[in-house]
Amino acid sequence: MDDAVLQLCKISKAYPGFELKDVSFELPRGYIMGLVGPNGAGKTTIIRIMMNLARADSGQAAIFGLDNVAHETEVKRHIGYVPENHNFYDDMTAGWMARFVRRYYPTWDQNYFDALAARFEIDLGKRAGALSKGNRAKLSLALAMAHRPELLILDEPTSGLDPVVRRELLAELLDFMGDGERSVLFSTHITSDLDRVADYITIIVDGRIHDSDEKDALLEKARKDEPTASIEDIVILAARGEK
Amino acid sequence: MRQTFLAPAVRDSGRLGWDDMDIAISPNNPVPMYQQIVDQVRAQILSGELKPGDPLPSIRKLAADLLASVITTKRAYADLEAEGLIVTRPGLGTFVADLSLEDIERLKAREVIGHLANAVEAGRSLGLEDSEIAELLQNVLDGRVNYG
Repeated sequence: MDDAVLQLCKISKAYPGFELKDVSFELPRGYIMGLVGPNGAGKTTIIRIMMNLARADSGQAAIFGLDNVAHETEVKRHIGYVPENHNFYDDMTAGWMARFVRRYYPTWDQNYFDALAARFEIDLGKRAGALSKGNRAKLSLALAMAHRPELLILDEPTSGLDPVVRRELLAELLDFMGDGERSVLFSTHITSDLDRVADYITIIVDGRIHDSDEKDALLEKARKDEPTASIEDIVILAARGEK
Repeated sequence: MRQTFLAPAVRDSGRLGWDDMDIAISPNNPVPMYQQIVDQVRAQILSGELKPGDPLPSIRKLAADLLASVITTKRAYADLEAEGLIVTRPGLGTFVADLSLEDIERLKAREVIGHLANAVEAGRSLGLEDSEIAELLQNVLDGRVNYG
């Protein structure tokens, strides 16, 4: 692909009892990719390797065309990352968290953050530890989006959230995509979120890429056999086939 | 253009532009999402709800409004453009094509003929004579049919 924001090439990593094997895929600029698979398939490990929070045994990851380890600082400046477990200082307020995070990002847009917080109805004076689960997820997303990163990496951003909040977050994501310069990698086991918004789907099962393609193409293929097949059905079939 | 905003309900309508389209799509429908968009936009153009020259939202705006993917929306616009129903003017945006009244009548006829051809095929494959199929059609037209 001529303009890939993210390229993984044969990433492998072995832990006792788990192996990520030859993981390769790429995400073109301007699109949303869903990274799906059963719990324990390796989604979070892949993301941690991209973020250089875990080291691959072999293989390369390039983000914006740059090696993600050699150019870590430069690359991360243009990434917004929402980890699986929102890491807040629970005794500090949401507003303090924003002032803390903004110091690391030259492109931080305070007006945008304030607008997001208002839209998400996050009380910035409230202690992070006192926020509801939904509001923690929203705060985490707002903190990751406020420096207008070129790539958002979201690890299970909607897990544990009710359908209304999930819809709000998805709408905000599409809004964020705006001009076509921004891209999103979104890991989830709630595949119904991806049925709507994902452009590409990468399915990972037991540490291996099962398929990585345009969502519409995957659905079209599956619907030849089963006219109402969803991404979930495709993942379930993939998981069964591998075991 | 008649303005109704259907999807998605949770959005703050104050933030939306005023070119929202009256379209609702669902990923659970076995008809692919791009096809759902194509069908609804075509129907609005043929029924006159959308008029020649009316502006359409950008691909990315429509994707955001419908909570659909950009690729899905792009494909829908590409198909509509290939059908000659919409045109993209670089730098200006996408518009309903300058269709004449005859064009629209011809497209309407083509749409209906497609459905009728399917019905005829279904009838013949069940062994009905053409005269029986014609009679059934007349019954439907007269509203004398129970679908059971």
